[in-house]
Amino acid sequence: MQKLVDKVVSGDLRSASRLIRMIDDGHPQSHEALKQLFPHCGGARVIGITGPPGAGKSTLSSSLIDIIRQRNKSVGVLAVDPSSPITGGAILGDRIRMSRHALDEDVFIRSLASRGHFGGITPATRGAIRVMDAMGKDYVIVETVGVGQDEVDIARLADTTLIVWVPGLGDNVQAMKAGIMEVGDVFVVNKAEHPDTANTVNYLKSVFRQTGSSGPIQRDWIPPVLETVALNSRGIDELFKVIDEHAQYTSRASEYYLARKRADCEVELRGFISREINHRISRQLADGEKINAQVGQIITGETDIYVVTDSLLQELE
Amino acid sequence: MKNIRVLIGILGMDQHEVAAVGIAKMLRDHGMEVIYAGCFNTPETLFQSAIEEDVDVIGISSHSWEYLYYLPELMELLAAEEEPVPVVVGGSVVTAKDAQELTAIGVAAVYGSGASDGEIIDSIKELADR
Amino acid sequence: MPSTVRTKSGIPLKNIYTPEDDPDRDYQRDLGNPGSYPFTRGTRDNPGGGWIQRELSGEGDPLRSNAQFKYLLEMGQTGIDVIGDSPTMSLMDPDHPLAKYVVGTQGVSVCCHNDYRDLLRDIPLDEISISSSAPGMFTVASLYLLAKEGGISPAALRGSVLQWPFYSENCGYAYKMPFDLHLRMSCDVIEFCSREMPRFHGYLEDTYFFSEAGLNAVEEAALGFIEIRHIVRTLLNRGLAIDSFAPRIAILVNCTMDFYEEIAKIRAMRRIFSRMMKEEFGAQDPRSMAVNIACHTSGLSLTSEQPANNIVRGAVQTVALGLAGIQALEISTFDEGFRTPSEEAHRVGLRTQQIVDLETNITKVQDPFGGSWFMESLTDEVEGKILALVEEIESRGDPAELVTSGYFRQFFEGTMSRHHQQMSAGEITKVGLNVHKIPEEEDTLLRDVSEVKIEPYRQRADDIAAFKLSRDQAGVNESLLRVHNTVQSPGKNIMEGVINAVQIGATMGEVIGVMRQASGEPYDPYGHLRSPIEDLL
Ligand SMILES: Nc1nc2c(ncn2[C@@H]2O[C@H](COP(=O)(O)OP(=O)(O)O)[C@@H](O)[C@H]2O)c(=O)[nH]1
Ligand SMILES: [Mg+2]
Repeated sequence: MQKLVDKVVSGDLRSASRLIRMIDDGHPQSHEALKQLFPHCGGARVIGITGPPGAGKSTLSSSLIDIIRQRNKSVGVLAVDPSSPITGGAILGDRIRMSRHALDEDVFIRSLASRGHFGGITPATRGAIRVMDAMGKDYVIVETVGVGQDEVDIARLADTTLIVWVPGLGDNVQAMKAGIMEVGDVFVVNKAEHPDTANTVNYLKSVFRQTGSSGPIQRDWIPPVLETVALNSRGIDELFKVIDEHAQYTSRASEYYLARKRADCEVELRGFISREINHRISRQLADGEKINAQVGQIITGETDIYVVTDSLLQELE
Repeated sequence: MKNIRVLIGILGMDQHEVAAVGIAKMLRDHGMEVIYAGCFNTPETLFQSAIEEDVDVIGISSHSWEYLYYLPELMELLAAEEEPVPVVVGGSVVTAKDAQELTAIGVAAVYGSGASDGEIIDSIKELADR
Repeated sequence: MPSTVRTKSGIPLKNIYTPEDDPDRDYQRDLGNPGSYPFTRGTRDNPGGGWIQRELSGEGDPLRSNAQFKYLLEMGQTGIDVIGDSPTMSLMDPDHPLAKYVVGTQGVSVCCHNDYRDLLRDIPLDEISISSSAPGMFTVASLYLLAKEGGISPAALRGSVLQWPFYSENCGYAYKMPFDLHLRMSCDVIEFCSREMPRFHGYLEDTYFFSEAGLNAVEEAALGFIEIRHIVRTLLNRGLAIDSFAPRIAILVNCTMDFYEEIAKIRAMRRIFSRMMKEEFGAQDPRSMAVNIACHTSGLSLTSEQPANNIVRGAVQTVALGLAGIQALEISTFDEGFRTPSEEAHRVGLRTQQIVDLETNITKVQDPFGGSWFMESLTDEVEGKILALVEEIESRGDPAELVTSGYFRQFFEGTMSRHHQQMSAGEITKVGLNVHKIPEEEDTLLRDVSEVKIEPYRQRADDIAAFKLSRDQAGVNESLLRVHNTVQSPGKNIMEGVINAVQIGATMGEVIGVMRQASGEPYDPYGHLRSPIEDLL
């Protein structure tokens, strides 16, 4: 394991790829490996990209890779797509949109299936970001599908979160209200060759003007709204400039920003702990003996499900 | 839990996707994660994708003869790896003689147009298990 | 009770039909004689019967294909039908690195005007109709130039080029260009042909190629009409009169083994087309309402197993098409599962057509199914389902946006997957493949011919690379720059600049590359080549 970690830190693609797989598969040693990677992390800037399917997130990622590479920086991409809730399988096709970077050694593209985690962010995504960070990638782009509340997840992991929208969807206030307005750092109206673009942009801007002053702390970053045509990289330079500006903003660590970070972190930590508890307990119960014994007694009415739950949990603690 | 990951792609200028898409969805419906690489691949791009995606199996769908030239190149790239990813090939243009030649250069399985879903799934599962 | 038998589109078939199945038929309104509105029974009154008999050809370099044409003409072929190899079909020159193993193996490699000169050497262009699946803009440019060079009026040229801006990217041959540009190219070609080559079909709606993604007859026709309607609207918005181009719209359809439904589909399509042109677009000229329908029989209906059986399939499909009435036909040949047609397969395909034409009298009676209780009710049902699907899809939004949003891509992925499922569940019966199989070692008849491989024409890449070095590069660059600038001027027809460029020696890949550049796309979408005018921009 130490060897694998060392190799990841030295930037070895195969080891990193393997470790991401172990994390994704819930390999028992991956938790330990991630801990060991910690001292080597923090160098990467994480850009989250989320929005409805077909909005052009992958195409946009590809254009962002162009710019990052022009600046001679390296980049990792995590493209997360939903797993089928019924079969657990998935078709992951985002690579196709980034195929022009296929042979660039400084671009590492990895597709992940959400494996039943809502919000597109799997615990593995966090781990995979860390692996890419530890490898020395300057940027990590994380693409997730989202059309509502779920987007919140990516925002907690990313330094800068882009919400990708398309013209015509602007009036879909329901989806907009449900969370994403709060978490997006930058709004991108992609497919901006469309005649409806101006309406959508104006609509979004008006929404931000209204929400700008609400909330307990004065908001000091009003999400800019940009137009792009990802297909031919129109507007990407401007977008990247804004991403840079946002990086400067976060480095100033304003009161508003810190409050938001704290809140995000707390949610994340609580989530992690409860997931870990869940895992550990599930593992202890895995053989089923204890459960089976009690199930029989519950059915015959000898004891009660509430009583059993309490006593089993006490025993495990 | 380990999910099987399969890379599916088509080589060169072959643009017949019916079988590739059909198989990709079928594998998905049997719980596998399919990284769909579509058309216009070269041995180099598939090889690189297989590594970046840490797949268990590479599946090539072919409806033109380009694969006959490209596969030896792909197999050579893979052979230099510590743990070469197994490659399977499917397609109606693959003749019995082609299949023999493919097996000779190390292709793990060849599926003709008559191969059933069950055969394909079983063989991929077995290869992924190794 | 036996389970209901259905057509591929899901229409139940009854054992017996009676007058009750076709109660209120109005002959003039719904059928009309062949050659009269609404053209259900046939595009024209065609007492001799028959169609343009041809076989899909094109292999290797242009001269090799030229020899193929001559062979087929000698065998009695009455028109030429040519397809490019996959690089050509994807607008790529043979010296592109991705083309190296496939030049000339699945069609002809043509990329410059010289190539067309070789391809059509000694072919009397004013006598033989040339139907080309090679990129329309370049075929038309070279045909136009060849006619002029040969002292023939371009107005005498007959034939067709296909236009497929809607679906080529998702399930045909990728052009790797923005949809708007592809659509504009198509409309420019159609407009140019209607002006300069009025007998030539500048717009063949090819429903064949995308229907091979597992579509049924209703889906095939519906997607075809969605594209036709959009292209017609675009042309009308340019200020063209409907009667100036509609007479030269033709449709190339598929024909599977679903005998009755394929006949009903063709009858229904003629009726839908004529009503669309007359009632929706206000056509006055009856020729605008009577659509020529050509057919390419389904490659997907054939099997690699027991290839001789495919000859029978081709014959059955030819009979269906003879009964439906069509204007031109190519049969997918028995070796289709493995390769583009061999000489032997070409001959058998042509002979099949000739046998049906000359020995059976099938074509001597027009629309013999007309008035059949069964066929008329099936035609109505197919028509109804086509119209309903068109409406359903168009209600999802502007069809052009459905293209760019990926709707059609999803549609095709769905049909591809459905086809796979139906095949694996045995719902589609294929003799020799999933029933009545024979051991592989006994499956020898015609296998030897079928399995012969066509070697890639590696020499072509060197030849074209050498040709490129031999040209007046400054002149070529200037012509490319002109194309580039025309693309950036909305409303200008690109054809003239393209004709100029190919005349000077620019290749298809170069012309297309600068057109991509002009719309903000990379010159080479595959990332290997540099634009010759990079430094001039
Ligand atoms: N017209 C247009 N199409 C685009 C643009 N960006 C992406 N697309 C297309 O939209 C479709 C979906 O893009 P993709 O990047 O896969 O979207 P994702 O699902 O959000 O990742 C593809 O067909 C892209 O080519 C754009 O700016 N304009
Ligand atoms: Mg995507």
